[in-house]
Formats: sequence, structure tokens, C-alpha cells
Amino acid sequence: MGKKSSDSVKLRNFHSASWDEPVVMQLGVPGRRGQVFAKPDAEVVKKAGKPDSLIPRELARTTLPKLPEMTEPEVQRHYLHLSQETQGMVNISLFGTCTMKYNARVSETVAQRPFVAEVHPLQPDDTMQGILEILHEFDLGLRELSGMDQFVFQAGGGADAAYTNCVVTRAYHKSLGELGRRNEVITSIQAHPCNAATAAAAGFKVITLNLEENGYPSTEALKAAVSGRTAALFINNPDDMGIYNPNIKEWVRIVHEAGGLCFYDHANFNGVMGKIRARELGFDACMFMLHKTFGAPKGGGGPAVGAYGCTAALAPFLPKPVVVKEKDKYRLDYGMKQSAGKVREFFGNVPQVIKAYAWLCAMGGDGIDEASDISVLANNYMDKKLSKIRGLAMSNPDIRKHRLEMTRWSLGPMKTDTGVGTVEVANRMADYGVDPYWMSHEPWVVPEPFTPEAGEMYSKEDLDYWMAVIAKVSEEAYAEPELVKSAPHNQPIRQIKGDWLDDPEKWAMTWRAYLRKHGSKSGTAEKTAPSHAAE
Amino acid sequence: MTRRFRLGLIVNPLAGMGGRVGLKGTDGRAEEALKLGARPSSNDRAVRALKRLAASHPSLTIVAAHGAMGQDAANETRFLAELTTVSPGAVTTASDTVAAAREMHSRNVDLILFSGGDGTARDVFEAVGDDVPMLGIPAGVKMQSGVFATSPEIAGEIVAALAAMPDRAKVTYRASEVMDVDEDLLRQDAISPRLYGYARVPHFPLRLQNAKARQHALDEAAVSAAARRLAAGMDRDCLYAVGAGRTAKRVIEALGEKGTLLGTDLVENGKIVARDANEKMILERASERPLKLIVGVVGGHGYVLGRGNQELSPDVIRRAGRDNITIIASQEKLMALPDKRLLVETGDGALDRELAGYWRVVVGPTDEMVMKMVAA
Repeated sequence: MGKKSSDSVKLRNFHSASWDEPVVMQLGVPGRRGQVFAKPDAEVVKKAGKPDSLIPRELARTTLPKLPEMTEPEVQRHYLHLSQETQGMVNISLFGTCTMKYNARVSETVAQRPFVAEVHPLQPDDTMQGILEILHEFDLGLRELSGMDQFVFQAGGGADAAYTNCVVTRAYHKSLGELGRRNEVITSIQAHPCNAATAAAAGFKVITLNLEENGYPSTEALKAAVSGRTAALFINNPDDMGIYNPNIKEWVRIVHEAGGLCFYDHANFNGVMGKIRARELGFDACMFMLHKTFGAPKGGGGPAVGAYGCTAALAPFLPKPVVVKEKDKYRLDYGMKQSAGKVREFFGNVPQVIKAYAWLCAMGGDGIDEASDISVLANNYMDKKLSKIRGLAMSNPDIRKHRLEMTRWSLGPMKTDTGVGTVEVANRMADYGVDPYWMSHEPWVVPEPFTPEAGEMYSKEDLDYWMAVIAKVSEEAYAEPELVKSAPHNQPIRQIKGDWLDDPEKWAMTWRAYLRKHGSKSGTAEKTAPSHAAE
Repeated sequence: MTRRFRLGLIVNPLAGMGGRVGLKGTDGRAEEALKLGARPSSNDRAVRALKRLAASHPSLTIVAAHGAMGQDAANETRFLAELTTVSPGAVTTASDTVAAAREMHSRNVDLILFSGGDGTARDVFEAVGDDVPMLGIPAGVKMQSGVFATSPEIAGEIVAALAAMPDRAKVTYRASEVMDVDEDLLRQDAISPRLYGYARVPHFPLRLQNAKARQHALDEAAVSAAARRLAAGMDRDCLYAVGAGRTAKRVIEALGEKGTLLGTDLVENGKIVARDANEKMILERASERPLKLIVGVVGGHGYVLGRGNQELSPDVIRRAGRDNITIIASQEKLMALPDKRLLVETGDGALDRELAGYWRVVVGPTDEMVMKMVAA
């Protein structure tokens, strides 16, 4: 690349809408309504009673809710403004470790059909055979990809699936009478942090392995951690930096010989999907995130799915119910005596499973294999181009092997040279219409990190645009650092002062809490509301 | 509104000269270094830091030491400097640094920015202790203390961010080791470093690094909880030798006692039985009961045994045995170590090789981290 990378790509002159939009609770005028309905005819009232009397007394509220009173177009306008102040999540988002994928409209449409949308999880099994069939079929697909013997979809996200593994691990060791002794979970500093977090939440002691020369922990370190107290190994491979540990089979053997279980967190499945299976590597259980790898939408802490699968030996301990097929009928089996119980209500976010099932059917085995190749190829393409941009440094630069689907980068050199670090670069990139990248989970193992992941769906032009943006921002950082440090300039809100986030006297999760902590007079609140937190 | 930020500036004009001419430090050896062709660089480094500061705060108040000890660097970067009354001679000395830092303390500076190495850090610390925060522009030969910014420019950035903070009560500080080795011994290849104390150093107060500051608070809480857990789990009728350093001393604090920051204290059945113990005292007491060691990770380079805690001699370590040594440190500290490795140097090569290998370091009440330890 002889010329500056930003020369070959035309950067867009992006500017987001700025509506200076208040919080919805600050809007409205008493008495305004969205819809005003006609009063029922006297005859209707006579037969059915007054509308109020239809609500059981125990359920009827005695005071009116303090909601903003608005017309329907005012509400529409408000949320339109808010949506225009975002980038809409269909821009170029190389949010590494999260595997951003397009959520196909056709899958959304399928999930909105009445046979999904109108089903209640408590209705009899024989009235939702189609749903149960899809769950079962999808289970079979995941078994094919992992070699496991049974999947459940109850967990509402990846961390919940890791927690599922904790409760299954507990139930397993309890069944052997060893739970009291086996109280340690081993993980790595670059495994997904939910592994350590859920193990701690489930009452295990957490032993974390550090990275060494090759970018992953040594087998010697694992041996130092494994003992008769080992309950399980929780590990990602490739890890959070896109580095694959080739000794993983030996690791599993070492843990098994000590009596521990091995859990494969497939948060970073994209680079190996269709290539390797948890079963052949010796793992006892694994987890897929349908909202990452399988094209279903991310829930933002809400409706996601962590699909948890395990071998037949662990299946009796799974949370219940599981879907079972008997002859041509499907049913939910609640009868498992050794089940660890529940990690969440019912049997999963079914619409999400259906979207993932649609993705799986559309991709097919060959498609999944090819998508994995593309995601690795795209990352290696980016590695080559990014390494030529000033101020960027690859983590573990001495490793000769390629990274898989993502690479951890560092802006340490840029920070030292110019004072511009990763947060500032991310802010400035948003000015060119790309979504801020993922930096790194804590703790940072390289200074000023960022972790782009291309996946299989972004085009070469998209990747070139993204890299042209970061090259441009690098040029700016070296020529005019204040420009980058004061970014974003083309967004509705400038830099947010984060100190509120640390201050229990100020943070507020609800409007009521906000008024309590920041003064209840509406006039005061209006002047200091969080939507105006821009500098 | 807080009053305007005042910065103290001390340049040790001789710092860093010994390194390139093989002197391993310039303490008391400046003239020799100059004769060997060493060129002063600490002023240039101070100028680099001040240039970065001038970009956002050109009219900041600087209290500078005279001449080459700060005034020159301030003038070169067009800061208006108030001067301290100390007038150093042609060749500046450690006592000039101490006197300048003392005066800055009495003139209420918010931070002393110094350009130098471990020796300069030690001099500033001797003068102000942890009353006045300090920050080092890296310019020395030896920089084992945890008080240095990673580059002169970053030092300038940190000062700029501090000066820009509307409420200085919100700045997070960390207690960082002031370490120095005896240069005469170092020249004979016998390393004898010491921990001189803990300076108050601004902890990445850059607004945009809030995430890191939060992590710092969490790590501190985790290591405190770990210390309480260790204290509660102490075996009866065992002798515990709790080594030097802030982290290990939290175990003593958790017992409701006050330990010796820079030395080893002995504990039995939850009570301190000897403070600042030497090797002989430890071995005498250990003849009657099993000995266990609790040590921290001392210094920015990852020393666990042999630095800052020489009373934990090879004999003491052998008496306890590897399985009876507990290492406690915050995860943040471990992750900041160069090469992410612990170092051991007891003076007994065979013992160092025995102790090398993988250790489980206590980082939280139910958290351990496996770290590689190598013989230094």
C-alpha cells in the first residue's frame, strides 16, 4: 500500500440528526391522549357492566400512573427523533467478540407469524407441536455442529448458558458425592469473562490462567491449577483475542484425569464452525450464542438465547423441561429427577430459536463451512492492511500463526506518540458513520485495545471503508490530536461525562430515582436531564 | 469551585546520564558520567512533557526549582514560573531536590512533576511523603518505582487532565512503591533494592479512562476481601511471617492490628508477636511451630521474594517450604507486570530454581491467578 489507505476510499461526510430531544417523561401536557374512545352504549353497560367493573378489584390501581400525557403523533415523533439520533445498527459494526450479523428480514417475518407470536408457553404440548418440532430439529442441527447429545434453550443469553453449565457441573459432582471437595473452576484471562463471573456466582472458587509467550496459557500453568479440587475447566478457543490453543485436547485430558468436567464456551465459534466439534476435542458440554453466531438479533440484556448442549452423561442434570420426540409426537419432559432445576422460566426465547433455525436452514452445512472460511479470510485481510496504519500494533506480534476470526489490536504506540487512545479513536470513527468498535473485556492485556471482527457478512468494500476510516483517524491523531480527542463532532451528543456512572448519589435507573436525586421540580429536571449530558 | 491548579516542577539535570556510559545510575557519580561523555537528557524529557501540557494549559501556574532544576524547562515551553528559593550549585545534589520539594509542599502545589529516575523519586518522597501527589517523567537509569508515566508525553497528558478536572476531590490516587537500589552494590552486580515507601500517584485520571479507574476500585476491593479471608483462615499455633508492602499488610489490618509497612511482622493466633522482624527472630520463633509466609508482589518488576523483604532469607523460605507460602496481589498489579511474570531472587540460586514455576496468586476472596515465577 504505497499511498495512504484513506486516499483510495471516499469517506462519507456523515452527520447524524440532532434533535436535542428531551426524555419522554419531560414531554406531554395534562389531558392529552393518544386515542379517545367513545363511551359504551347504555345497553352495553347494562349487560356487561361499567368498564371499570371488568377489572378485578385486586388488580385495579388506586392512583393514576404518572405517565406523560401525549398525543399519538407526539409519541411517534419522539421515538422517530431518538431513532434518528442513533446509527441504526445496520452500519459497519466490527464489534469483535460479539460477531455482529445481519438479522434477515425473512427470519423476522417467520417469527412474527401467528403460529409463533400467539403461542403461550403454558398451553398444552399437543397444541404447539410445530414449535416443539422446530426446537427439536434445531437441537439436532446443533448436535451435528458440536457432537453433543442434547441441547436446551432455556438460558436467556451467553452468560446464562455459562451459568447453566455451573448448575449442571454442581449437580454432576453432587451426584458423585464430590461437590464439597470440588469447588474450583479453572478458566483463562482471555476466556469470555462470564465464565469466571458465573462460576463465582454459583459458589465456585475461580482459578484464572494467564497468557504466555504463544498468546495462550501454557499446559504447565494448567497443570499447576488442576487438582482434586477441580470441578471444571471453562474455556474459549479461539479466545477473546482470536488465538487458538492447539493443545486443547491435552488440556481436556488433564482435567478429565483429575475428575473435572470440560466446558467449551463457543462465544467465538465463527472462526471454527463446521471445522471442529466439542465432542472430538473431548469436551463434556458447550454453548452457542444464537444472537451472535446464528444470525438472531442481539437482545441487549433481554431476549437472547444461550443454547447449552452436553453429552448423554450430563443430560440427566440439564434444566427442565427438554423437548423429546416420541414416535411422531413431541412433548416437554419435566420428569428428570436429577435436573438442576431452572435457570429461567419456561423453555427459552422461542422466537429467537426460530430465527436461528431459519438461519441454519438457509446456510446449510456447506454454507456454515464457507462462512467460517470467509470470516477468517476477512480477518487476515484486515490484519495485513491494519498493520500498515501508523500507531497500531498487533497483540502478540511474534506469533507466526494467523489469528482466526478476530485479532486484538493496540493503539498503545499512538497513545504514546500523540496522547490519542482507543476511546478517542472510537469516538472519532463514529463521525465517519461507522459504529464504535469493541475495545476489550476487562482486564486489558494490551494497552488501548480494540478488537475488530469482520465475520462473513461484510463486503470487501465495507471492510476497506472501515479501515480507511481508522487510517484517516490515525492521520488526524498525528496531525491534529485535539480534533480526535474532542470527537465526536458529528453526533447528537458529544462526550459523555462518565462520573455519574460511579456515583450512587447521582445514578438513576428510573425517572422517579432521577427526580429524587436531581431535584423533583420539573423545571430543574428539564435543565439537567441526562439527554443534555453533552459537553 | 476549586482554586487553580498549581504544579510543582523538579528536573534532576543529572538523571539518566549513567545508563549509556555503563554506570548503572548517576547518584554521586555525575562528574564521572560527564567525563565519560554522558549527555544530560532529563531536561529534554521535561520539555517534552511540558509541551504536551502547554497545548491545553499554556497559562498554568508552575512552581519550578531554579535553573537547570526546572526553571529552564518551564522557560523553554513559555510557562510563567514561580521559583523556589533553593539555589543549587553547578552540580546539583540530592539535597537540592529534597529542599525544592519541601518548599513546593509548603507552597501548596497540587502535584510535583519530576524528571528523573528512582533516586529522584526517593528524594521527592523523602521530602513530601504522601502529603503531596507526585508523578515521574521517566528520565532515569533505574525506574523500578511505580511513580512514572509511561512516556514524557503521557506525563504531560496526565497533568493536563488533572488541571482540567473541575473537582479535584474526584481524582483517584494509587499508592505506588518508591523503590531504589544501592547503586554501589549494583555496580558490583549485587542487587540490593529497597522499598522506601508508598507515594501518592494520580491514577490515570484521564476522563476517558473511567473504565480503567472503575476496574482499579474493584481490584482494590477484591484484594481487601482476599486479605480478610486469609486473616480469618489463619491456622492456630502456626507462625505467620507477613512480608513488607501494602497488600500483604492488609492481612494484618484485617486482624485489627497495625503492621510495619516496610518490614515483616510475625503473627500467631491472630495477634502480632513481633514487628519488623529480622531473619534471626523469624527462625527462632519458627523453631517452636510451623512457619507460613504471606507475601505481596513488591516493585513494578514483579519481585516476590528477595526484594524489599530480605529478612525472608533462603533459610526462612526453606523452613516454611513452598507449599506454605501465600502470595497476594491485585489482578491489576499482576496484569501490569512486564512479561506478566513474577521474579524471585533470594541470593541462593538453587532455591530460586526450586521456587521457579507456576504459583497460584490470591487476587480475591475466591479468586486466584496462576502466574509464572522465574529466577531473576
